Amino acid sequence: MYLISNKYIGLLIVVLLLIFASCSHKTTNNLKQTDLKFIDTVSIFPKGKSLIYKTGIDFGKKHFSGITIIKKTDSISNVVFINELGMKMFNFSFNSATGDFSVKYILEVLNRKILIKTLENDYRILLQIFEQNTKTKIFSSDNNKHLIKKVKYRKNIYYRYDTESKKINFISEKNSFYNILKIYLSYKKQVPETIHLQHKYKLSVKLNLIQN
Amino acid sequence: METVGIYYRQSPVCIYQSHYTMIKKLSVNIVIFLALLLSNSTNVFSQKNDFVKVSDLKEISEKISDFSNSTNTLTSDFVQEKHLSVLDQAIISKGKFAYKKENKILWQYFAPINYTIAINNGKFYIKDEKKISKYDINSNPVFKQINKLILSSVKGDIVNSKEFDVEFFKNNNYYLAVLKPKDENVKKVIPKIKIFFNKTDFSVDVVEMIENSDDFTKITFSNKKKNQNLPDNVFNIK
Repeated sequence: MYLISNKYIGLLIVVLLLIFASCSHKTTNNLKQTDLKFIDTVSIFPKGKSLIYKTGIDFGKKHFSGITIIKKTDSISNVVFINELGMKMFNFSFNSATGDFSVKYILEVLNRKILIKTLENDYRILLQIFEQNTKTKIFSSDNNKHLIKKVKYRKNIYYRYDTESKKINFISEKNSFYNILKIYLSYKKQVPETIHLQHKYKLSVKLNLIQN
Repeated sequence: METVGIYYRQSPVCIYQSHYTMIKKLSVNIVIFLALLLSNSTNVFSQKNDFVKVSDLKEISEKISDFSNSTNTLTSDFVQEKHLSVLDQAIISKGKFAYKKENKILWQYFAPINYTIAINNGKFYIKDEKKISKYDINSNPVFKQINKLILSSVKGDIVNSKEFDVEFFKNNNYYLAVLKPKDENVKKVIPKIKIFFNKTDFSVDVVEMIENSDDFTKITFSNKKKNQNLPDNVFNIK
């Protein structure tokens, strides 16, 4: 019995080592850091435009819906969420230059630290607004199909830039072992048409462009 | 006497300076007074247009009650404008509204997106595409108050409201009710609501919900039809 257990433990360690090894190299394998600094200027949202998205939020079995308004400018960027009746649920503001975040308004029932932190993080990543001196690295894949921008902000954030469509079409946020957030984007002309944020913990947010 | 003495002891230059200072002060005061008057009158006009306050509520109360008592069902089209400071233009939504006595309400939005809101038997239903969310109105004080507000607006029983402080104004076309919620939680969300009653039939033409930051929602009703046959199952969301 003891020997069998030891065998299994040995096997388990080998398997775990293989998993960790594959995880840690998954993103940076086949990538070389380049000086393709132009990626720093690639914005997901066109500046100065108010974009309006139909929004569906699924948390566990619960479903919430409403409208999200995103406006990015060089000075202040805003994210506002209203429900179907037109009631404002929250209004967040980011200082595009300093990266400072502020809650302009939040409905009392939503005023929870963890929720605000999650939403701040999600929209900070989408708006690409980070505090000054945030470290970034840029890699290119071997076949040059994609360029990857890695931003070290709280966790590691990877922006995947498609060289053919010239758009950022996938973002992931990782802790040491796995993706904690994946964002899928599709575009209509120069504007993101669908944005799907998939959190590891049963939280999914889908944004569909209705007006710009 | 002492003051006069002081004046007489002053040189003409001093007297001139004193007068000059007085006139200057007076001019400044007049300018401030005029500015205040102007700003005050601008406020009155901009906020209430040509509305004047109604102090005798008996007549309004009776007419609104008449409309409420004689309305079993009501259907209309509506246009909802959401004005936000971050937006260059308002978000315009369009749809159909239905009400059935005592407390059944349906909002169907067709543009720019499809969704339905129903209030039926103390429950609040939201249908977004094929997903239906159900809330108990009493579980959320804000939902509860909004439900009361919507029902009060349609039924017109706001004159003696326990939930809101109400003031009435009138002009040639409308009676305007300005409501301020008494509940602190609701006040934080919507501190002021304006309801415009059509003077001809006392139905509601426009509702404005004003938020703390001056963002507001305006709903305009049109093509209103009263007491048409409206089966109960219209309000059942499937």
